[in-house]
Amino acid sequence: MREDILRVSRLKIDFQTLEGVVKALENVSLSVKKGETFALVGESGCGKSTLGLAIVQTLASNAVIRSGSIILDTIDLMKISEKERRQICGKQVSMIFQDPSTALNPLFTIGAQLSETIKSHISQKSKDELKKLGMQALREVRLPDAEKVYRMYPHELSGGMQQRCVIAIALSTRPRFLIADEPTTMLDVTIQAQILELLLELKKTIGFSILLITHNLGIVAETCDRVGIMYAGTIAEEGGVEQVFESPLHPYTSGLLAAVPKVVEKSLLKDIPGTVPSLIDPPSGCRFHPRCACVMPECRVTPPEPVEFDSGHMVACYRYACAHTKR
Amino acid sequence: MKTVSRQFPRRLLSPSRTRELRIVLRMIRGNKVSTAGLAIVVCFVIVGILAPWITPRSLDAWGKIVIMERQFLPPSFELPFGTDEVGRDIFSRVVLGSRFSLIIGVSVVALSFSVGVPLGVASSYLGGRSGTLLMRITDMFLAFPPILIAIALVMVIGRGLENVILSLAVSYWPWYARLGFVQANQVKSSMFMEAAKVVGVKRFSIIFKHLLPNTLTPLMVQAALDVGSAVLESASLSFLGLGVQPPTPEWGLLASEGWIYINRAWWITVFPGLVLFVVVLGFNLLGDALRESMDPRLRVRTAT
Amino acid sequence: MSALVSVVNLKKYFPLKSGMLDRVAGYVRAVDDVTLDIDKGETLGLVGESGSGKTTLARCILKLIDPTAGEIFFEGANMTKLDEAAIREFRRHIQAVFQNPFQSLDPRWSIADIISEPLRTHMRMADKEIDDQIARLMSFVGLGEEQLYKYPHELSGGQAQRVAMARALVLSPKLVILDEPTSALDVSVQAQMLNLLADIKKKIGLTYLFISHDLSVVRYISDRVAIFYAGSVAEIGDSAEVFTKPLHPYSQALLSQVPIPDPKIARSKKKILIKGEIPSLVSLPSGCRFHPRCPYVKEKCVRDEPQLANVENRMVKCWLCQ
Repeated sequence: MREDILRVSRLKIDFQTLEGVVKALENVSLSVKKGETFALVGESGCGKSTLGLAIVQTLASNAVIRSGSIILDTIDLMKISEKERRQICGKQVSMIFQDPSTALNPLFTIGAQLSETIKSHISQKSKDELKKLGMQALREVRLPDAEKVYRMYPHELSGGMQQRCVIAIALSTRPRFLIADEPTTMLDVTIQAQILELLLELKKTIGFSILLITHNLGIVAETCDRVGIMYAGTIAEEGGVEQVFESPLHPYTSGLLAAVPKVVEKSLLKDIPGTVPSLIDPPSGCRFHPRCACVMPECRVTPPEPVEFDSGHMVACYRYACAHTKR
Repeated sequence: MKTVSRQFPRRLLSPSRTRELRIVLRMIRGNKVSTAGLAIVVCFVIVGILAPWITPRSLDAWGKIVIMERQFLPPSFELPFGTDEVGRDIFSRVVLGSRFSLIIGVSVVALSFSVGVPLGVASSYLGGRSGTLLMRITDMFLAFPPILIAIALVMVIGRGLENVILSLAVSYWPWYARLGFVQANQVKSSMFMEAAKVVGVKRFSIIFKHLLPNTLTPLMVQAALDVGSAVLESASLSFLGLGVQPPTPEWGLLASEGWIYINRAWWITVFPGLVLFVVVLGFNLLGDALRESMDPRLRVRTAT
Repeated sequence: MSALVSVVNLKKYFPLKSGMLDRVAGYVRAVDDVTLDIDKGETLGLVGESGSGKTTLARCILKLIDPTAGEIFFEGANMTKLDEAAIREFRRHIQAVFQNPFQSLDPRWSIADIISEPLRTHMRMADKEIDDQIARLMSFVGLGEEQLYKYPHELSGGQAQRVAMARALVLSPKLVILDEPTSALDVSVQAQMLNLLADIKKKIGLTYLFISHDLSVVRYISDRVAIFYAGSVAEIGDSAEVFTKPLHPYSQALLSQVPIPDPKIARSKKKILIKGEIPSLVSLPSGCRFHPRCPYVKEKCVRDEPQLANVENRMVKCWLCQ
């Protein structure tokens, strides 16, 4: 039984906005095991990015963490001081985002940005050593002509190459945990495939775990070990990729899977009626109940607690909790 | 059944716009400094409009005849700002002066806006040589400090209220032309402009119904705030003796008239100057608050 | 000819200006000699990665830009060079829906005004008639009448895109060009939109030109598909056939790299990873523009540029397939 590198328990986060309190995350729990690739999937407004930012402690100033814990290996990030958090997170957790052109500082060369990161986390190294480490990082992400790229500015590189640089910088500190928030959404299909393959290989050689945040179910099916499906700030279902894709338990999951077109066959697309709810005034009880085809009276009253169904397959839905207890 | 669709004029206070206004107001009220700014500006406008009716001693305000026993009276409860060399109640003069400042401020901005912005927008849409030519002319004007242009013009066309408004308007229009040009450039490349073309809308209609409305609104905020700077500049002109003429109780003029008595009766020049300072400060504070509230990045969003 | 629109040898080059005097340093060959037909009643999918030229081609057909060379025919008539009046007339027949509805709808116009604009532009109709038409269209695209009084930012992405569709349909056009209409939408909303599009097409008999970089979506909705690479068509043919058995090496690689939301198939699938990046459109490779990245490249590919040739009931631009 592999250990967890990350364990989030009953996390509840609100945002204070001018239009009201946005209940962004409601009772979110998940765990990522060491060495695995965990996908966090959901549509816009589901809270997946918020969760990612919460882990690296870079939420906006109007965020309020009401309850819950985020445990990285053995340390609860909520219970330690700001300074300790920064040290631990900075060294052990790295995060990469969707748009590499905004993640890289346009005024500095790639090399300068690489050395800046390496310097801040690894003990004093001479300028030459920094450069050597930097170039090694660039070669690791398979950039052709690392020497040349080291001296280039971000705008001189294509999107795919920029993202590779971002990955190089993120991995230069040898983190134990990488959060990737839609890392390939802005890239073309062919480049996307290259980047994902690169991430998986580096995961094996360097040895870290990945939390991949995405809305693309194809990527999840191809690259991830486990998946968590989020809906409107809650985790609807969590489990092994094969488990969830082949026997989805939550009605939202099955709805989502039926709505995704596949390039290999022209299957009928079934859409989910209704729209994603506002998080300022979310539906009572289970947040999915207004759109659920099999809604039951209890769904409208209290949010369902997550129930573990098969080994590692968890769902938050009364329909299946009932079926489980009846067995 | 009432017609659902209609073209111009568009409802100014649509439900979405009132909602926007409410959000902006809430943001301003949340910040003490910006609330102060809003309060000052609102007071100024109200006093300026009602001035002829609320001036305590209006005869005083205009009086030219010297009343010896009322000369140089220091500030007291009855005469909050004291009296000047003629015996006039300075408080009344300042209150009445707000009307002139308001008139000048609003007229200058209205005039320069209505001339400058269409020119800027037109050059943006026309593009090419004619557009560039117009912008170069504007650039020439922009190279001068606006107050110098105003001074030069006043020297040519003479002093007085109307000429002050005209000269200041002439010094302001290039800024609006430039603003209109830049804003129109931004809007020009929007998808809905292309979409309008695809629909087949005539060029003229595109400019008036799509380009202009989207360009105007951010500029109107700027215009509202420029009223403050126009007030300040007209006061500067009056202070230099190039603006409105006595006995008009314009603030700048009041300050300059009282300048020579500063050792004997400091209140004559200080109070008008102070009021001017507070009003312009109010506009600046309001401006900062409005700009912050309009900035979409500062409106905190929820990441998903 | 059952072709509704015919594009013949279309080229669109954008000059690259450099230096103080804006000298022309080179050309971006956005569309480089493209010939294709859009048949009446079909959905033709245009796929390609960024910079492939598909959007530029659409803009040429929409007459938003003028081609550098080549011709465009609509219902047999040459419409490459038209005067203003003729262009306006032509706009009644070809409409478009763009990617981001919050950008393609004027944020200061109400929904009612947005949808009625085409009517007011092209026809003289009484207000009451216009109101009726708008109401009809709203229900046609599945929107309630109360939305008419709203402004675009008050709607969700899916709703706003439906408004864009309603606007495109109000003049009963013959062709609707859809440029990445679902790329900005969530998965479930995308499904709604795609089903709506198919539904509408069946009900009133439209022709669609569907542009997207998402191959799964194009597979779902199109009858025929054209795969673009660096400004020209690599392969064009029946959707089902091209997607099950792509012939051009680029098509093969592209299709193999599309992630499939089915773990069993995904993990057993062999991915053909091609090295390198999309070439710069200013300095395209010699001969076949795909040759530097092609796993099967031969000498001929480097020397001569292949032409579209008929292979197995579709057109392919590749020496090795001929």
